[in-house]
Amino acid sequence: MRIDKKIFDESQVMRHLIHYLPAQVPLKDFVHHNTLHAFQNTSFFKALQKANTIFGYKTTLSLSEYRTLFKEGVIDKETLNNIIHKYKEDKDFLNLKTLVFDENLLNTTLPLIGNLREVWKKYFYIDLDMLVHPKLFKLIGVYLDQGVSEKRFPYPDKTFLEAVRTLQKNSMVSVFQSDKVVELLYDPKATITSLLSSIVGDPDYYEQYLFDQQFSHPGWSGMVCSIERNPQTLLDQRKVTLHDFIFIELLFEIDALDKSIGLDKLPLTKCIKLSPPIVLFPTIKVDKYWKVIAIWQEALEWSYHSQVLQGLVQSVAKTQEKTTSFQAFFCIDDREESLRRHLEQAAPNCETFGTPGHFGMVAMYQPDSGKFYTQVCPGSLKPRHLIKEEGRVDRNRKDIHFHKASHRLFTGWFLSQTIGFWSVVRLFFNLFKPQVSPAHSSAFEHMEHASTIVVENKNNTEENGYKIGYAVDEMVEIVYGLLKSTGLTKEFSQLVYLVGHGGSSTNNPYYAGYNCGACSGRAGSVNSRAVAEMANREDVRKNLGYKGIVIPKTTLFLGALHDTTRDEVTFYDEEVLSLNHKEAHSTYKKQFEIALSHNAKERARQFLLTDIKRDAIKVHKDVKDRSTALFEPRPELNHSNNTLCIIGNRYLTKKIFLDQRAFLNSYDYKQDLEGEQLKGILEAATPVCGGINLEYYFSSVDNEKLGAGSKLPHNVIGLFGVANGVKGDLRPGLPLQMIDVHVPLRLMMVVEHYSEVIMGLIRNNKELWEWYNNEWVKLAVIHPETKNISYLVKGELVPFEVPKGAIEIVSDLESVFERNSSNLPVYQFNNL
Amino acid sequence: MENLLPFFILIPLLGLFFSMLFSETKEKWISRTILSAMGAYVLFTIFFIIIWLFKGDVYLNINEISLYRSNDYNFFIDFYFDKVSAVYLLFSGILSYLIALYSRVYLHKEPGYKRFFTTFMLFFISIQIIVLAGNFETLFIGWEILGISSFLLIAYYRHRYLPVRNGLKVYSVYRIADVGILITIWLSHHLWHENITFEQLKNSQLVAEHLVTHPWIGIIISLSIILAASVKSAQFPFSSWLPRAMEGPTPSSAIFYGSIAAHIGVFLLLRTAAFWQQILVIKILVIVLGIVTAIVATISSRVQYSAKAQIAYSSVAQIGIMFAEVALGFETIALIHMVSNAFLRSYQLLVSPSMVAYYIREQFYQFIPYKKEAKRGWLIKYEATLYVIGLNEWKLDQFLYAIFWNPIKSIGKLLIYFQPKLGVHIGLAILPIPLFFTTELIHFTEKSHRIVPIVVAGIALLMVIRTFSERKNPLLAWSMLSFSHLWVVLSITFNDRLNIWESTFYLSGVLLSGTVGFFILYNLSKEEKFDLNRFYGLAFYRKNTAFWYLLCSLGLMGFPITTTFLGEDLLFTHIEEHQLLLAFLISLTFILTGISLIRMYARIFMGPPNDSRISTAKRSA
Repeated sequence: MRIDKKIFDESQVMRHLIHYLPAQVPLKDFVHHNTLHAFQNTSFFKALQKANTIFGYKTTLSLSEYRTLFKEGVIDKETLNNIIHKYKEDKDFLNLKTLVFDENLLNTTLPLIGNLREVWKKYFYIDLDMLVHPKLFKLIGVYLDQGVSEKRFPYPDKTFLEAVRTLQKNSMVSVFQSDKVVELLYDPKATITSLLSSIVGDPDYYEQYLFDQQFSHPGWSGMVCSIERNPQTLLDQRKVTLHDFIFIELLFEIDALDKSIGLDKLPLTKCIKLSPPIVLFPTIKVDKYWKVIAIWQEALEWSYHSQVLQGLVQSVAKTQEKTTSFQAFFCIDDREESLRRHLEQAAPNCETFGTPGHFGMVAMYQPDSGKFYTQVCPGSLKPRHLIKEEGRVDRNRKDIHFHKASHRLFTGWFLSQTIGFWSVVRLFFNLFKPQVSPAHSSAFEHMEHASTIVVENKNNTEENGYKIGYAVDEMVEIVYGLLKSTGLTKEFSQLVYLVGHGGSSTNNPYYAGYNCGACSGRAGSVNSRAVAEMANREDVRKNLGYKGIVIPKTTLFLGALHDTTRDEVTFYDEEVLSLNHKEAHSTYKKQFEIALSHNAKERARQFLLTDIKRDAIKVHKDVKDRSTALFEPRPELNHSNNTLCIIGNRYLTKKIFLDQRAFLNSYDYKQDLEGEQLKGILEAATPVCGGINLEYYFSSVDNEKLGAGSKLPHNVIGLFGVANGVKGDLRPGLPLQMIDVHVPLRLMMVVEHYSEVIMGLIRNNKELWEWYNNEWVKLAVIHPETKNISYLVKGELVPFEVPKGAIEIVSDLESVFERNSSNLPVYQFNNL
Repeated sequence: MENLLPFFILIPLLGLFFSMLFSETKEKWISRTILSAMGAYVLFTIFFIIIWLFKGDVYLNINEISLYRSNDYNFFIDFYFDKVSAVYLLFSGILSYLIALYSRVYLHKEPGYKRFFTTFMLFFISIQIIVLAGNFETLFIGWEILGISSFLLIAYYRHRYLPVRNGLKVYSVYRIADVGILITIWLSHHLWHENITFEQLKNSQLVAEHLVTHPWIGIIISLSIILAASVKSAQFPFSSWLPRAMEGPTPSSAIFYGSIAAHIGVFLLLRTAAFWQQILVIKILVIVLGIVTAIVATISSRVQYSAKAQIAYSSVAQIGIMFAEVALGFETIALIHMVSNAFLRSYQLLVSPSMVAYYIREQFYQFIPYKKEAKRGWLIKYEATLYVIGLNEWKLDQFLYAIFWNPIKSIGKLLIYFQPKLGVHIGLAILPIPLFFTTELIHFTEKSHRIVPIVVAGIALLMVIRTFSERKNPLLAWSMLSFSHLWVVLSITFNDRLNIWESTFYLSGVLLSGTVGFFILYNLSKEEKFDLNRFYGLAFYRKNTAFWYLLCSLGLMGFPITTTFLGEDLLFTHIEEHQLLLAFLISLTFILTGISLIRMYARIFMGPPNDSRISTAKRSA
């Protein structure tokens, strides 16, 4: 086959690379996203195969892992048979069945990326990566460093390339060894293309060469791309581009080649006969192995999902008869599913709602005396408002152990002669009685309890292009959106809580990943507090009245924050409560306390070192200690096992046990027959929940390449990333300790509405359609009246047959928790 | 009271033994055993020291057991306890106990939980042996165990590329320190004409007398000791290994490379201070070495962008100062500095993951944007130069590589043409045997008496070097390593007096481990495809084979688990004091044998397994 000479288009190849490189941002802004976002235009299983063929990622569980899950009963036999039936073509069912169960199929494809790079070892006996990587990583590392090193990089205002040039110029010790390379560094005519021509030679190989090169250290390359795309993500900003990075890497390669094999052996294509360049992104034929894998994965998913759908149909809670005591809004986060369940048990007359945790407020936030703004809404939105905190009392606590003086020669001499004895005392106390220390990152530090926030915009004041606070009509929009989308438009109780959430952990570089995803990896306290304040305003309520939502004078909104790690709740602005309210509030607070302890106990069943067969309050204390213990790599289990997002009325889910696996978004189709609100919900929930779900999926099936591996040996790099040891590549993705109990199921979005409305919505939105049609997120629709369920297959809704038999009813969940540490099936429960 | 000294080793040893009885999944029992042992150890140490202080803190010495005795030589295990031991035992005990407690939870569910604690205890025991050793022979036992357990801890994540590579690197550097101790042992025999104990070294009059008669031997011994100490404490020019050792789980890096292991060089200096402090040149050398290290390491430390490398270099800088303190005779200050620095750096390493939250918070509230300052030209140049030097870490890593490994590599490359057939093999194996019996008969001229042993030892060395370039056949490499021992023994035979018992001592261990190891390899080669060209990660599915093979490798390198260890020591007593070259060649052979064996183990059993069903990390990760 003759391959036409391609013209090498540098910028196009750059774009191509950026598209495929990991998109993880620096740790402080950690947000979940689909790890294989680059393949999202392909259908899910095809994409899995493709990513495996091209990059060598392990994109599914292995066959033996699936078979083990089957033996353990996690994959249901009948479900599996049904799926095999669906997948069989005209050929016989039995043949496929032996393939699935017995045959020792192996995926023997070798990744396409990396082949060309092998030639250095094969023909020249040099390990080019080992010669280049340490030097390259060092240079980019010190350039991007945000404050680990004592000495700041000398030219932080220059672009990466310029900075290297300046360093080379000023230093009496050369950065490079070869004079030729120093010449090239300053040569204005040198480009990536020209460097490639001197290393590789034939332009046909350039793209392949660059892909091989960049994917030999995807962590660093990906970080460079993220910072290029979004420079504000570093507080101490740097001007780095993938172009400069590759340029420097090529220079280092020439440097190493000059000093090892000599430049006369170059370019490659002149010197040796290479196999013809490969097509990097070939069309792929589904083979036996991948078909069997798809069957297993579907079976694994349906084994749980069909239980859920069955549960949703069979157990519909009666609508509330008694008057509600209080109403509480929570984030849709899967961790709030259990808390809501426990709260409804502790306070049977309450009513809970789920909504994205920014509560509809799209804003930036600046803590008192903070030098920067931080986004407190989903990352995809562009805020125009700024909320400012005022009156912060607490100063940041200092810790001598982090002081740079200990690394200097003379101060270090003094400190290392003295404070070591204090260190060991500290270590001793942390081991036996973990306490909050400056190393701790608390959910509550985001906004101080005693401070105030500026919610109202006065005189149209602006700061750096952001409007400080909101005008009344904007507040009305936010509150209206919140109430309308969740369906709480009448029968308000005396107290309505808005509960945001955040996480607390110690010694954990991934602390941002524990916070609210809808608040861009921050705690949800500012949002809950601000929106509550808005909803309490008379002018806002008056305007809401015009729009048909009448909030009685006796109703008060109260902001709060739930610490998901410690299971604690703090309420804000309690002083606005009247005496009457106060009394009620103190009762409800106690109910919150009970719910929190039980929630902690439920979570603790998966913490194997915690003795769970004790009273909930005692277990709760141990759970709290996890967040302050230096030695606890799993302060909480975050979104582990998430696999559902249910958009509908609470009565659908109120009586079934979903094991912290479901994102719950309250929604009343009756108030939104056209689906206007639903559109907004789907547009927000699909990428956020889908992103979380798929990051968990990929980090757990290939924890070493798509995840970050075990976090125990991790070394903090420049405050923006982690690596193993001091010389390794950055490790994007989730560490082993965050996913080790996760079972990789895709997310199923369940919506209660008419199918025409939903299909119309997703068909008309290109991005949504990509998610659902390519099955990166599955979709099931519950007909509001008939309760018939249908689900999306290849872009069409097909009816779901509810399995026969009933979902097991459990009355004492607590004892179930005490006995089981693994995932639980769907139960109906009966608490009254 | 000195009768209680062995308990410092026995308690952790019992803990190690019992913890090994539990299966991998019994996390709770493994950690309980280890923690009880460590707890008991700490209590024992505290009581022991209190009573010892009460009795008036004189040093204790006990000649524990004589392992081999002939009319002019006595190999005995000796324990010695003084202020320095007390301090080191107490701080290492407390820290190890706390870290064990820490790791109990931190390593929960980590694959290799048991392996971690086993290696941890092995490491701890090795420290106990070194600290309590009353003579160099005993110390060397601990020294060897320390080296191997270091390798195992660094390469704890044995199926990733970089930990294994760095583990090998550190192990190789450590072996350089072993040369120092071997030479020290050898020359000490000649200096004192007996197995000298550290207790005797305290007798300054005795030392002075011997130094007057043999000034050069004194200097070489001191240099060897300093070599050993600087390697293990990452002093100039060996500093670059310490940051590279930070590959294991954070607590193990914190305790060993942050503190206990990195400070053992200071301990060695303190222990032998009575000896080398009597030589002024050496004193000055240690001071200079310490100060140079302190400066060099500080310059490297200030530009490190990764938490652990930064802490490692600042720790090295402080250890440099301790070297100077010891040389200046400030023993107590050095001791306080050592303990405090060890605690501080361990803690800093332990909390290093918090850096992100802590510094980002600090940056968020106190950020000062960069402002260009007008600076003088020379200042700009000076700063940039220092920056690049620090960034390159003084190119010490490359320097060591060029000095120590490039020669071996190039000789190995030349030797690759030597691909013995089976006949040659057998020839190589049995050739020395008749010679053993004939050496007595041949009458050497003085010149040939000088040359022949060196030639024979050279053959042994070349055989070992050859194995480094062997990429295809592990069995060939293994056999050559086994046979090289015969040549080593032969080279000594010319020096008379090596009796049959001593050879047997030496060779029985080699024979046992060589044969068993050969069979393990042979069987393995029937079932798996592997060579020495890359890593195969076979331990992933064959944990037990890996374990037994490792034991055989250790046996073959004269690790203190077989009689070969003792034999090695005996061998050295027969090298005469003027045969410095022979001593050097033989110790080099020993050292390289060790490295070659561990390299083989790593290639076959470590590194990423070649299996698409397992998630393996990128090579660079």
